[in-house]
Amino acid sequence: MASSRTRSQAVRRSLHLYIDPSSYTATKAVDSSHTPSPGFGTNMSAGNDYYTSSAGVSDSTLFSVLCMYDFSSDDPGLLSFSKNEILNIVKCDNTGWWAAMRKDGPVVGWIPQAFVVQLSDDMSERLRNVREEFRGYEYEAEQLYNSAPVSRILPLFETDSATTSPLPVYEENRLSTSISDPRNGTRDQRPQNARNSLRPGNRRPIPPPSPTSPMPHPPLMLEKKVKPARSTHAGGHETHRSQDTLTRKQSLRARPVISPNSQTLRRLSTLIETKNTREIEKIASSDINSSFDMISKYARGKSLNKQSFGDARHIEAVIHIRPWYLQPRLADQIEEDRQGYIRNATLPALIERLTTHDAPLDLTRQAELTTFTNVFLMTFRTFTTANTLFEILAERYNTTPVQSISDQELADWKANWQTPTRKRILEVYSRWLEDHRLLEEEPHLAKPLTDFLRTIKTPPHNADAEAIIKTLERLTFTVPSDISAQNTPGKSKKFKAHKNDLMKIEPSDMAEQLALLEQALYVKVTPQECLSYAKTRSGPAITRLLAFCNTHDNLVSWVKRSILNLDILGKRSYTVDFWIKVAEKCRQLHNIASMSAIIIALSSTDLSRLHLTWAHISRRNNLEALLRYNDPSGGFAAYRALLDKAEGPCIPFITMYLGDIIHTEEHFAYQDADGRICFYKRARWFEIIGNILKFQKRAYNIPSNEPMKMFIETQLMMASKHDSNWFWNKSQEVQHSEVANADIRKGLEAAGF
Amino acid sequence: MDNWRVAVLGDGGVGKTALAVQFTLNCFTYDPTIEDAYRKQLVVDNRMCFIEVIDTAGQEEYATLRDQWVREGQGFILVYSIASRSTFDRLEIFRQSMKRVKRGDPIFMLVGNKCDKTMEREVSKEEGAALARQFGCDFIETSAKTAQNVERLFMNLVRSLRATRVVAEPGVSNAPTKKGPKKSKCVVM
Repeated sequence: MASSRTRSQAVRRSLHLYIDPSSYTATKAVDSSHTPSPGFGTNMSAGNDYYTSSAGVSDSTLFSVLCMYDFSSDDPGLLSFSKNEILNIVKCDNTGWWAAMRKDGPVVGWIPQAFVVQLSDDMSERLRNVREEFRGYEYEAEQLYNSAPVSRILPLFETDSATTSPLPVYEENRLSTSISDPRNGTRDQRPQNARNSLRPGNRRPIPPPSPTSPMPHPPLMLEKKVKPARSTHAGGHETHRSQDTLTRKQSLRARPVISPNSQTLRRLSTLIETKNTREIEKIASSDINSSFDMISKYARGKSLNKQSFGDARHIEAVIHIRPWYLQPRLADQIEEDRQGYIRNATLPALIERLTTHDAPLDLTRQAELTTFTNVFLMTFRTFTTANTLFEILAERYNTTPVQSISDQELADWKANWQTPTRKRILEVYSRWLEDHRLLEEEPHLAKPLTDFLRTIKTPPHNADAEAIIKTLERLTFTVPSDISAQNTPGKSKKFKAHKNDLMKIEPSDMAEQLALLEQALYVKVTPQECLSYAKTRSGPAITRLLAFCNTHDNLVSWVKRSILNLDILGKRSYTVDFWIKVAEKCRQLHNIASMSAIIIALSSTDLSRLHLTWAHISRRNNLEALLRYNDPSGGFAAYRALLDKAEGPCIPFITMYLGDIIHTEEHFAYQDADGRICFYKRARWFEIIGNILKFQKRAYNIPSNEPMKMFIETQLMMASKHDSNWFWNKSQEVQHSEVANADIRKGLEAAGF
Repeated sequence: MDNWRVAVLGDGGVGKTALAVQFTLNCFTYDPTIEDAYRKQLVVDNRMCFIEVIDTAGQEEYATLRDQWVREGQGFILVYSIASRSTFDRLEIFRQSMKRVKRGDPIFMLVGNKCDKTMEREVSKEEGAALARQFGCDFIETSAKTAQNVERLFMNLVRSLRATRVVAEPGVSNAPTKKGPKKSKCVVM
């Protein structure tokens, strides 16, 4: 220990050659979060030879870091390390070079800050106990866990951008300059450092007291954390030192760009470099300020969830700054939450959003817009009428430009507002017609719509209009075809005559026909009915929905009845087994509705009390497995998971979704305090209804068996006539006879038979 | 800490969801797909307990699910609307279901909801109390809209549930759920 100590002191002394005390006192601006230990601090202010002070190794340690990459150097002042090592930092320097040492080793050397990440005390303690090769993953996992709901990037916007300008783009601007300055820290995912390098005071780097070589950059794999090749990297470092300019260029090009949309980022940095900032300021302070605020709010909200994404969004928003006459006028009437979902909005603002066609959109924005359109078109009937919507859209199509506009601006307006907006309005009509049942829900609008479309004679819209008219005609004159009938294959299967006896039916045939029957009912359920369900639980508004739901109950009754009506124990057991087989087949066919009905029937008290019947059942375990789906905890979490994963044709069990619809109805108001439409409520409904109806387009490829279908329908009808008391009494009867028979049998056995 | 599953039963439109929502969350961050959406901590008699509310709204169309609810629940809330006589008359169905599935005495409370609708009252408080006596259970009138008596309802129910837990012999637990509470006390008879 003693010898190592002297050695370490020797090294420290030699290290001291590299450390210029004057720069310390001048630049105490080490980030405040890196609080130096007291001993260290006093020495620092004294400007003395602090390393020879009596402070032990651990005292001088500021914090620990995890090495994210390999780093090697021949320079004696630098400390080589390999990935996943944990080092103690004894001094932070604003140049980005930190003095570090190993826990057990006496050698102190400079390391580039960009190659390491700072660890909290807990974390370093924990990581030291992890095997070296796993530390990186452990750290990432921890970061993911920690960063999930909290914004780390938010303060950056709030503090800096609030004081300088409402334009967060300044941050980007600074970042992009800092990128080209290799001494100025690096931009990475650690907000603290990012912030550090962003502070105006820190921007001019202090003459490096330590290594004079420029900061090397970590290999370009920040995102994927792929293990960088050691050899290339070592070479890279040499290049840094010899060909400084070249490296700078390279580093600018080869920066680890956080945003997936690297092109946009690069485009912006050039854009900002060439443009003077005055122009951006001018734009920001003009009358579109409010809408810009909205954009930044939007982007800020985004950055909460997807930190790195937020940047890209910002940039995009800036690129798309448009003249005032192209700006949305009612954007301030839409209230969005931090995730960018619309909470409340007025109808005109919603329609403006609906018909605004922002030119090049990235895929995420495109998807968001599509979702918004679908939510709007599915649920608009809950906050306005179809007629109103139709009229507003038609009116908007014929919007005239504002008077005070110059000729050049008019041309620009026509090209960049009128044409895309008109195109978009036609798109909306077309979607309404094709996907949102305009003809079924609002047949009276067919004529006005055709008339309106016929007035459109000018290119480029006349083609679109004609296409819609054609669709309209096609949909009017073709009877909506039954999906299940459509897909019936030509060759029909030979069915065994079952003579209306359950015991002669194949379970798989039964399951298949049940699937067809349920599907025929399921495909008829409409989104509007599901919406109406929030308000009413009966009546003509939801006939088809009820027909589908009631089949579930009727099937339960039939299963119970088919068993309770049998007098012979063996037959009852056989029938129970039969239904278990049918349920299993239903599970295979993804006919979750019938499956749940059958297992609910079999597990009902009416049947489960027939202990002797159950004693003869062989497939009990199979039933137990299926019954796990029936657990209602977490709002039928098991069914939800099953349906989320279902592929191919499927008939869902929808009770929990109906519950969700009612929850949403109870939980969110229709309007907010200002009378704006609570759009979030609609968005939730859209999501739930999407879950209910998403399988409608997937048809079974099963041949229909008419006699069997008739048989099933008759049985369901007959079973629906019994009420719960009938089943209870019947089951009591059966139970008594079982017990009585058992007594007789026991008596016979006892008598020697 | 004890853990109770409470099923809210009653006809459609009596405000089951409103009760559950009023009880489980008084804030507006709500997602029914999250399992914890229905859970709430409550301190009753200085002891903490967890209540999971099984909301049966949207299941009126599935009468056969009733057994399922009853089997899963440990305590029950039987709700009718004071503004609708028919919801009051149909309570017998739910009680029967409870009695059949649970055998023995299920723990439940009778609740006349929507007591803010005094102008539309169809079922008097006395009738409610009389039915409760007949059922052998506690009775309370609540308003999910104004939150009146909602917390009290659940606290009373937890008290009743705790009382049975102490009295009940070990092994005769009528709680088939895995999430059932660990017995804190063992009574030697």
